[in-house]
Parts: sequence; C-alpha cells; structure tokens
Amino acid sequence: MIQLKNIERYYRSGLQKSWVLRDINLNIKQGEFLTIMGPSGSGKSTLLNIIGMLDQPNNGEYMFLDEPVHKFRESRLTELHKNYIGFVFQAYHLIDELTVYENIETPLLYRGIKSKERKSLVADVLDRFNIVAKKDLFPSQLSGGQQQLVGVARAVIGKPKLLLADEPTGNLHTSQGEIIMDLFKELHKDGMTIIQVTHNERNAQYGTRMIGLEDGFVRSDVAV
Amino acid sequence: MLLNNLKISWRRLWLDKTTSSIHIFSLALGIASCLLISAWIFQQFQVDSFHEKEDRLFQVWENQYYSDGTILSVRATPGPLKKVLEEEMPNVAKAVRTTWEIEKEFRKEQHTATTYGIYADDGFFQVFTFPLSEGDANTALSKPDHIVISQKMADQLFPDETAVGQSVEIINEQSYTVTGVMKNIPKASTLYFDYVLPFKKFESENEWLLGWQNNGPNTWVLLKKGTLLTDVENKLTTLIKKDSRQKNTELFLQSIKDRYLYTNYENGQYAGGGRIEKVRLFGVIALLIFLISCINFISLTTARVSKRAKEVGIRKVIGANKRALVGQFFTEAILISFLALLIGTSLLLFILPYFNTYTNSSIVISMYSQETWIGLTSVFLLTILIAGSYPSFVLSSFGPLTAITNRFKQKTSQGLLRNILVVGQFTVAIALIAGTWVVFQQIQFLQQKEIGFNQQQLLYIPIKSPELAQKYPVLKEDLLKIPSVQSVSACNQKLNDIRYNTSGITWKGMPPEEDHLFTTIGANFDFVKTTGLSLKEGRDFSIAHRADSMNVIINEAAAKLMGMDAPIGESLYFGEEPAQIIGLVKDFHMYSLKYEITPAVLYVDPDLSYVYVQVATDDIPNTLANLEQTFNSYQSNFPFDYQFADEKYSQYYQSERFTSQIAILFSILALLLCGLGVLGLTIFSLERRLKEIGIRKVLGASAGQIVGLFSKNILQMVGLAFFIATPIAYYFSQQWLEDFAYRIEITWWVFPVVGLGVLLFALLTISLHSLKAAVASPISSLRKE
Repeated sequence: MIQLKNIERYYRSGLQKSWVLRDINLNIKQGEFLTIMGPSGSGKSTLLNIIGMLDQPNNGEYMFLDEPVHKFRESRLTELHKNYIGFVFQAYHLIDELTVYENIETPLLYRGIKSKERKSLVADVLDRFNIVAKKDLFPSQLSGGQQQLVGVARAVIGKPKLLLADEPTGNLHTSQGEIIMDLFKELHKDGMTIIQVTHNERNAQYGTRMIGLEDGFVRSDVAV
Repeated sequence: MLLNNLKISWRRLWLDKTTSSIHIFSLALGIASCLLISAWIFQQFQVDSFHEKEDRLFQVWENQYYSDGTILSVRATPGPLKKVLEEEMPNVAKAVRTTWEIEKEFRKEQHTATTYGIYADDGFFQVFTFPLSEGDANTALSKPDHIVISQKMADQLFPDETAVGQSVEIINEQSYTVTGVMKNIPKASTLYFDYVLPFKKFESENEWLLGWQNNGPNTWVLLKKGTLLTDVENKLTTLIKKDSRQKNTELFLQSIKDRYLYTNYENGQYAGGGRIEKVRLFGVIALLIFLISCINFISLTTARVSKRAKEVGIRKVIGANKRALVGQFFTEAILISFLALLIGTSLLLFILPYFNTYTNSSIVISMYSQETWIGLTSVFLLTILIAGSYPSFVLSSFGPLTAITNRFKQKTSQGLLRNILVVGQFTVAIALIAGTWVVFQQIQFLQQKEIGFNQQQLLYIPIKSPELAQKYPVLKEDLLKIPSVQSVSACNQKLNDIRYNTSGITWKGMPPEEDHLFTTIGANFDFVKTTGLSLKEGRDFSIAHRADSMNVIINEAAAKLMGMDAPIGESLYFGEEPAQIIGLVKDFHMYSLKYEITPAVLYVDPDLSYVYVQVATDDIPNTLANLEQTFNSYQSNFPFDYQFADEKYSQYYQSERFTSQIAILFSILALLLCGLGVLGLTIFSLERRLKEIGIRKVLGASAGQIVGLFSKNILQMVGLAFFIATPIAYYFSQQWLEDFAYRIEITWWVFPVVGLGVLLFALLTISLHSLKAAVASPISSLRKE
C-alpha cells in the first residue's frame, strides 16, 4: 500500500541543515497496524505527516496505492488525502464552533455526499461509538476521552483505507486511552490499515508491527 | 453545504458578540453613509432630467468681451435672437424665450394668490416637458390674453370648478383667460413657476426687447434630431455678429442636462466645477467612509487569523480544498454584509428625516423604486467584494500543518498590510476633520465679516403697488413718525444683492477704446445714513439739494478705476449726461464674499422697488407691526412683506453651510469608525498577548507600562497618518477656499491640534480595554498554558 524510498526531510537554519528524517525506506501493506516509536524529536510525527500528505519530503519517493505522491501537486494531494486517509490528533483538534454531530459530518460535506446518506452515516458512527446522547454538545462540553472519541469518529466516517494517529492517547487518562485503543483494534480487525505514533509501550502492543525511530533513522523494525 | 456554511457563520457571529457587533456596526455605518450620499447624488443628477427632449434642448449663453480683458458669461440674450435663430438656422427646430420669474398677484372673485411665474413664447410646452392636465398645449399661449396656471394655483383660485375657459385678473394689470392647467412643477426642476403668460404680451410692454443692444430674456433652442452641436455653435457666432447686431459677443449652447450641475463659467469658458464639484467631493468622501468601514472589516478579520488558523488546518486535514474554504469565508462575509446592509438601511431610513431637516435638503428614498434596489444591491455586492475577498483568500491559504501544530505565525506582510490600512483610515479621518475645521472657520468668517454697511438693522420692504412709488415722500414721513424707525430711504434693489450694471459710464481722461463695467445702484435721499455705509468724503443724497437727481456717490473701487484721488466735485457721464460726484463711500460688499468688490455708482432713482428702513433693534415685533400698519394704509391690496438685510446675506452661504454640515457629519463618522477599528484590533492583540502581559506583570511591569505597550504601535500609526493627512487636507482646503474672493488664511495650528485630538481619542479607546487586562491578575492568564 505504501512504499517509501530514501525519504529525507530537513529544515534549513542558516547554512546548516537540521535533519529530521534520513534515508527512510519503508513498505507498509494493506491491513497492517503499524506503531512508530521513538524518543522526542526522533522524527515520528514528521514521518506520519509525510505519509498523511500534510508534509512533503525534500528527497525520496513516496508511492501510495501505486501512485507517485512525490510528483503530485497540492490539489491532487488534497483529493487523495480526502478520499483515503483519516487523521487522529493528540489534541483532538475538533472545531470548537461545531457540535459533535456537525464535526463528524464535516468530512462528508467536503466529499459532496448527499444529505440523506450523510445522516445515516453519521447516525451509524454515533451509534457505534456510543455517543448518540452527546451529538448536540459542543467540544468544550465534553471530557478529553469523549472528544477523542469524536475525533476518531470523524476520522473514520469516510471509511478511509488508512488511519493515521499521532499520540491519540497522549492527553488521556489510562482508562480513556484504553477505550480508544480498543476501538483501533476493532477498526483494524475490520480491515483498516492503521499507523500510530506513540511513546507508550502498552499501546504498541495493540499493533502488528513496530518500528523504532532515532535521530531520523529507522533503528528497528519488528513484528509484534 | 451552503446551509451548513450559513449555520456555522451565524454561530460564530453569535459566539463572539463584541467583535461581531463591531464588524457589523462599522460596516452598517459605512453602508448607510454610502447610500445616503448615493441618494443625494442621484437626486442631483435627476434635476431637469424629466424633459423628454433633453438631448436636443439647449439654452443660449452669451460671452461678453470687455476691453479690460474680462469675459462675462450670461444667460441673458437679446430679444430678437429667437426669430433670427428660427429663420437663419436650419438646424433649429424651435426657439423659445422665457423671462426671469416675476411675482404677480392674482384675483378671482374672493380668491387671491401671490406667486412667481414667467412669460414664455408660444411653443414653450412643446419644447419643455411640463404636461398640461387640462387645455391644449399647442394653443395655450397663442393669444396675448392667454394664461396657463399650475394645479396649485388652480386649486387656490378655482377651488371647486374647472379653471380652463375662466378669466382671472392680475391686480393692477388686466384679466386673462385660463387656457391650460399644468401639473405642478417637479421639485427636480431648475425652472420654477406657477403661471405662464405669452411672451408677446411682455414684448408689447417692453419695447427695449425689440433692439439688439439690450439683453434680457433667456433663449432656448430645440435642435433637430441628429444635429451636431459644433455645427450649430460655429454658426451662432456668425449670426450674432452679422449686420453688427451685437459686437464683442459670442453665443454658445448649454444642454439643459448640464444646466444644474455645470454652471461655473469663467472668462468665457466652462471652468470646471459648479455644483458638480460638490457632487464629486461628497462622492469621494462617502466612498472613503465606506472604505474605512471595509478596512475595519478586513483588518479585524485578518487579526483574527491566528484564532481561525487552527480551524482552517483541521478542515484541510479532513478534506476541505481551498475552494470550499473560500466559500465558507465568503458566506461569512455575505452574512455579515447582509446584516450590515439591513441595519445600515434601517439606520438610514431612521436618520433621513433628521438629516433632511438638519441640512435643509429633501432626499427621498423609496423602497418601491427600482433605483433604490439597484443602489442597495450594488452597495451589497461592493461590500462583499471588498470586505470578503481579501480575508477569504488569506485565511484559506494556510498549509494544514503549520496551522494545526500551532507553529503558525502571522506573516509580517499581513501585519504590514493591516498597519497600512489603519494608517489609511486615520489619514482620512485627520484630513476630513482638519478640512471640516477650515470650512467651519471660513463660514464663521463669512458671517462675521464687516461687509461695509449695517445689515442687522436694515429692512428691505418691497413696494408692490405703482401708486405707492409716487406717494413715497409722504410714506417716508409717516414711517419716520414710528419711534423705533431711525432713518428711511429707498432703492431699486437689495443692497447685498445688486444686479444692475452698465458699461455706458465714461469720465474725462478715459481712453476712448476702453469700456468698463460699473455696478449701478438706484438709491434715494438719506441712503448712506439709512444703510450705514461709511462715507469717506463728501455727503449723502439729501432732499435739501435739489440738484441731487443729477449727482452721484461712488465707492473707492470706482474712484480707483477712474484714477481720481479727490473725486468730490469731479464729473462722470451716463452716455452724454454729466453727473457730479458728491460723495465717496468706503468699499462694501454687494454680493456674496465669493466675488470681488466692483466699481459702483449710486444715483438718485425715481424708480423705487424697495423701501429701506433703519430700525432700532430693541422691540422688533412691535416695530414690524407698526410698519405693517403704515404700509397697509398705502397699499391695502398687497400683503406686507419684509426682509432683514442680514437674512438675505446669510442665504448666500446655504450651500457652504450644507457642505460644512455634511463635512461635520462625515468627520464624526470617520472618527467613530476609526475608533471601532482600533477597539477591535486592541481586543485581539490583547487576546494574543495575554501570556506576554502575564509574564511582564510577574516581572514587575506596572499597569501604565502595559497600556503603553499597546499604545506604542497606534501612536506611530496616527503620527504617520498625521504627516500624510496634513498636506492633503491643506491642499484641498485651499482649493475650496479659492472659491471665495475674501477668505481666511489657513492657520497652521489646526493640523497639529486635530492630529493630537485624534491621537488622544485613539489612546483613550485603547486604554479603555487594555487597562482591564493590565490590572487583571497575571496568574489566570499564565495558568492556561
């Protein structure tokens, strides 16, 4: 599904390059649940963002579903991104002015899905995530765990082939975190490819494969 | 999608009420003033546009050349011109003469009416569009005893019957047969009259109209379709010079469409300006106000960028493309603009009556007229375009990652742009206020200037009946018996509205090839005493000197023109008739201060139009009652009328007062809008820098220092605006002042005072809000991080 070849990412500060990612070669198959681990500043999030097409590498090739992403312009990227990828953030990043229902519905709007179908899709997800009662509340009225549930619901409503999660439980209590991770496991079971970034060893156990990142290099790659 | 966008926009407005109100209210003010001025401008352009043949209808003007190089452009034309135009100019379909408006008293049995009207040639109603509701327009003026009256007059004289076919008497003249009733003249007409009499009649009573040497009536031509104006104008001058009908003159045509707005002729050429200048000026000011309010919108929206960047990022991550985001922000702009339009229009309709009273104008905005809706729609679209486009494109252009990860920083270019916009706003405000001040000072000056005679105590009382003119000496004695009447004289015109002049005066030693224009004033005995003119040498006209009917008094300008150092005892000549100079008066203003004082000659004129009465100022109502009683005993048929000289004088500056009122209104508005803008920006900058304030306070900053932090930027911007605005304001004020022959010098301190005032206002606005933040506990702001 995903092939990364010699991916490099650096920032220029003055004459110096400060490296974030170096020589990343990675193959990710459909249906994998990959965990990216590593200390702070090791480039985990940058890698995730590149895979999620929110960031572009300086060098290297990126094939997504056999399409050369590194050659695409922004509008094409938006299209790919919109149709195949869902994102979950550590800080939830819900839209404050929208209700739970509307937050979940928004990606469908951008895909141009008809009102009737939207309603049934949102209703399904609300039901499945057990947040029907909260649908008319605003994010500020929810606990962190509940907000992240909405975040996940929003990410998966469009049935993406790939779900990316950047420290999804980083801001949550353990018990809340477990709920989210169980949810991921379930989604994975249903066939979704998931890539998560985490510090947490326990969360890594939910996945099928784990890579360790250090100073921008892949140092380990093991099956779980 | 649209519905969704609308819902979100509405919710966002509702959540952030302070900012939203600032947004909407400032736009609403801009829209209201834009609409108001548009309505006024529209009204100005509507004047005289109701004539169906306006494209072919022209008024004949005459340029008169004088030997001292002046060229006078007048609308008065020689009487025989009409006939010649029709006979010798194949392109002229019809020519029509009209007189100036003449006041007459009408009587039909017990009903009377006193009103102004004109004499006009047969064909008047075919050339102009003043429709008759009764009678035949083609024959209405065909006989000398015909008269057409307005509906208003018909209602007064023939309350319950048809007027056409009936006779009506003009007091002291004769009876006329009503041949037509015309609909009341629309307000948007420069010609205004309640009756039309046949020009033939006027001609038969005024033989001077038959000669080429005298100018009097206005002449209008209706050109044949497809005629080129230049063709006609070239022939016109040949026409007037032919057979030495008139020497040293030229004719040209002015379209009736230009009659109201383009009237400023100097030295024989259209000198740019006239009313159109005011139209342009107000148009520009309204546009500037509108821009200021749009700038508020733009700068407030972009200032919020940091707040909204996160949302934009999220939306991009979950699949929004740029178009969708632009759509969303535009929806927001549209919603705000719509609300602003709604509020602005309501505000306008609410203040319109007050505005009309305050400025003495009559702007009507009808919600049923097509023009109103066109105006509203265009203002709406313009608002969306200006206010909506820039923020939309700025906001939608963020990369998702920068926005989301809080790595977002305001681009310096946007900060710079916002600063430029704010400087622009303040420049407009400062320039407007300083300009307004200058206008205000000039009007004060006009009203306080010594004009050379005693206006406050001088009454003009028109002599209406011809018999009274003959009884004037007896009347004068009776008037002098009234205790508060100090002096009485008479004149053929109002002393601050002098209209007569002649080029027929000569003096010894005058080079024969020259001719000069003298203002002539037909005065009477005790004239200098009654008017309070200042006698420099010689004496007043006096009944004790029988020869005074052949003597004249001149002003200093006349003495200077004739090169007489000691004019008393010298002579000048009206044609061949010699007249001795018995008095020299100091120069005085005979018209508005827009015009220079001209050489003037006062003579004793048996033809009286006004009795001048100098009264004591203590008990005016009683004095007026006594005067009325005395006058009524002489001319009981006519209502008693009077005007104080200073009233007449202040009428000259109506237009200037209107300008100053509008300017004051817009200055306040501009200042208010700038204030709103600054308020909005301060609120945001406080929000953004809350943490910084907290840290600074922990480090020991005082409240004053914190407020200073926020004031520094605005101080710089207002300072910069001051330096830009001063020369602009100076230039335009000077331009405006140049209309006046007598004007103030612009005082330099006006500008710094205005600049400081505006700065203070801005600082006050800022401190109101920032002080609150400055005295708040720092803990709460820091804990959030």
